[in-house]
Amino acid sequence: MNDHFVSQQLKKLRQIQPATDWVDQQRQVIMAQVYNGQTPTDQFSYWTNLWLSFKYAFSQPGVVVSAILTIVLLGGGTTSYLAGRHAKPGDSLYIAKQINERAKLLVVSFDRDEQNRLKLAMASQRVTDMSGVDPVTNQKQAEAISREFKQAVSEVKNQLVKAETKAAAQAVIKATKSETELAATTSTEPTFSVATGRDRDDRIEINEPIEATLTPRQIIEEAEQLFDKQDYSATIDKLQAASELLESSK
Amino acid sequence: MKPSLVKQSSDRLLFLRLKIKDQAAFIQAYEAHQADIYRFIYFKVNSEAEAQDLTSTVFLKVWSVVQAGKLKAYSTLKSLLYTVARNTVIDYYRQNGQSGQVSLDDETISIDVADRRPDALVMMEQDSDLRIIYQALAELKPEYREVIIMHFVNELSVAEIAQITGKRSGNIRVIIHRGLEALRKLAAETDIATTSQ
Repeated sequence: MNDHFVSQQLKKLRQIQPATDWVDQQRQVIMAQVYNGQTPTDQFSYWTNLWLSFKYAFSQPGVVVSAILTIVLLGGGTTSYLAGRHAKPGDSLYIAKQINERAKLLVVSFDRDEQNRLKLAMASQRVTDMSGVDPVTNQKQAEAISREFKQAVSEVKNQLVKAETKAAAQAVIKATKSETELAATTSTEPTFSVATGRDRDDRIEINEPIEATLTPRQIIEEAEQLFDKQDYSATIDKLQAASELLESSK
Repeated sequence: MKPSLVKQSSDRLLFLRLKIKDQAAFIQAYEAHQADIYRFIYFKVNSEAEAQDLTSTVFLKVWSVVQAGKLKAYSTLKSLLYTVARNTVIDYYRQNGQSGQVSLDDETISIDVADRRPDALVMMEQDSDLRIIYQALAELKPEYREVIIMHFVNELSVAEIAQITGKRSGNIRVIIHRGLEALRKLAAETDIATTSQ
């Protein structure tokens, strides 16, 4: 007979209960006493009970600590975001803005296109910042903004180069595959005569002029050049165009 | 043995409502705790009728405390109910002492196992181990018995028992440990005595 066994046996003694009829009878006695012979009514409103629940919740140390932490985190985060929204590189609150931007990038870390568009938006923001800075009197800040802009567009360009390389490699593989398939059916292939400009079936080949379109990477490179020329409005337009092109090619 | 968070919250909320003299809250408190209070008193007086009367008295006294707005002296609903219950039993023994009746909290007196409650009797007959523990419990020192009943049967935490008895938590832990050890020894002796008969 060990302590565990004894405590288990003691728990069984919970089965000792007052008789049900006595409990019911006693309830009537107590209700008569409490309500003084009147019909029981809801003495306190829903709002009183809600207030008591609220009061009780905030009497718990855990709830109070959690509430304070939530207020500090949310309040601090919102304040620093609002305060840092217009901060420029070199400002004390610029770090808050950077954290906010990095957090946004982290959210879309699995979508390369979305990440590129977000970086272009950040680059546009740097251009706007730059337009409000006098590079002569505020050289350090101007340099910092310029560095940030270059870094953002460079990251996007690198991503686009990678994507283009990948697409080209896939195209080569596809073309090789098509050529192999075509080799099997060369007998019926129509040949084109340069001299007559006609094929075997006497059909004329017409070459339609192809409109030269720029890739997003080329547009970004143009934006970089415009930025260097301090044509900030045109830079923003180019970045916007690149972003739209990325969106449409999704 | 810690009471569940839900039960604790519900008790705390009931206690807050009692502070504003909410009648419905008092009825709820009665529903929630009448069995525990009855059991606590029953193990002290060993009589169904007396336990019923005293339980009834306890709840009426508690209501008068609520009405008088004297709840500041108590920190929880359980401490209020058990403190009133303990004082009511003490008063009962004082009166019985004057009228020549004996107290079961006297160490020399043991609980009559052939209890008058039919369901308790049936329970003991069906479970010999439980009967032995019940017998041993009756022979246990009253100070130990009270704490053992509160902790193991009514499932009160050490902190709650400390609040009710006005002792420190460390003291309560020692009492529980010694009480359980004493109960185990008494149960073993009772078991040997029953087997040899």
